[in-house]
Amino acid sequence: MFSQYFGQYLLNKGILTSEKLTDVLAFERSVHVKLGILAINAGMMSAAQVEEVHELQRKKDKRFGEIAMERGYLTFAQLEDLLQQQGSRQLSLSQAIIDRGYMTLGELEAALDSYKKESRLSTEQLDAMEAVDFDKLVRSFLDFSAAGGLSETYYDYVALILRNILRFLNEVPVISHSVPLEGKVEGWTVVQDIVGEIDLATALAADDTAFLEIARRYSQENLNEIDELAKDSVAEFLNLVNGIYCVNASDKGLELNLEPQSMTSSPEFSHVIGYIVPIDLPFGKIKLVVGQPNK
Amino acid sequence: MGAKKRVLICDDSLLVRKKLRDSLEEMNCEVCEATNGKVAVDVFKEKQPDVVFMDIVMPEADGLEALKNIKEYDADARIIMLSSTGTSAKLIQALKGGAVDFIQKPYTVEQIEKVISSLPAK
Repeated sequence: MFSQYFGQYLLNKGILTSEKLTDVLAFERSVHVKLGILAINAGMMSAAQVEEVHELQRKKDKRFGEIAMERGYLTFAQLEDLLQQQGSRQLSLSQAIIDRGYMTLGELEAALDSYKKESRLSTEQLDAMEAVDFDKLVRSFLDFSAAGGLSETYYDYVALILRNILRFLNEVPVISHSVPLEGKVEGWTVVQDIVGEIDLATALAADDTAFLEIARRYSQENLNEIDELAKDSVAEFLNLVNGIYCVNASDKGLELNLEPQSMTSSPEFSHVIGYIVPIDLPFGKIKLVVGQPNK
Repeated sequence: MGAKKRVLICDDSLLVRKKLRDSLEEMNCEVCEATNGKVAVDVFKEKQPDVVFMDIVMPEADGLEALKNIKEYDADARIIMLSSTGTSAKLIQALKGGAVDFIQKPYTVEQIEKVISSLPAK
């Protein structure tokens, strides 16, 4: 997710041209993210400190982490954390930009900093996101084991929805145990299918009060009834989250596409095998549906 | 003061069209709308807008199909993709199809302002 959004940001700000971005997107799958990039992104080291360590590496037969610890720039715990992150592809775009010579470390540091400031995440939201590890939470609290090979997909999807409820609706969501999806789901329901290398059926359902509040918070409009704009606002929220899901999947090499959303009241889900995840928010309850179309 | 810049918003979301229209009208633009890619091509031919903000996932004809059809009609059309599905494949497809930019939702008003201010004066 980060990589895709940051790429868009650099393009939109005119920091990278579309030709250069296309080049680094094609190149990024082959890159190995170095510790310096990870340390800058985590705010543990400045670009100048990373340059200094790189310079020293040229003179000493030592690894980046060893020198950074010697200089007092990283603690052992921080280094361990960075090494763990190195396995993920999260910052491969940044590394690709550096490897291609399109930006200096200093320019990258400044762009990462502006991006984080402008990406609509407040400090409180960032803190809450760091405090609540939704990926861990869903895996410890929900049981999708009956879904077999799809269970990880479902865990990732629910964690993503929860993070974005925090981001856009500004509330920390609380989940209850999931139940198998059977028959009708009560309340206003927005449905959207994700199709491609895997097919997912997704939906969000809520009663009138919770539905209207989601619409108000997401749209930031003064909505007083469930009219077309309110319905569209909730549909657009699901569409946005599902778009992020597709971007995350694309980062992992899976190409997925979205189908247009539809809005109904208390629909039957007889064509879907999956789960309902109840989500409690201070203003009401939401039901999240995730499953696979039964073809 | 020059003539108003003409902008076509093509998105099936009422919310996106409303928000974008509000922002563009504050920027003194003349706004027209289309709710899917098929309608967008007709509105483009009729209104000849200076720039198009085009969603990708829409019923009837999607934004990439509309991009192709509009570019066939007017190779100089300025089309900005505005989508929640900013995967590498979609981005590359849009840029190769002749889109001049790709904005990932949620967009900011500053991103829209930048597009409008970069349009040539009339």
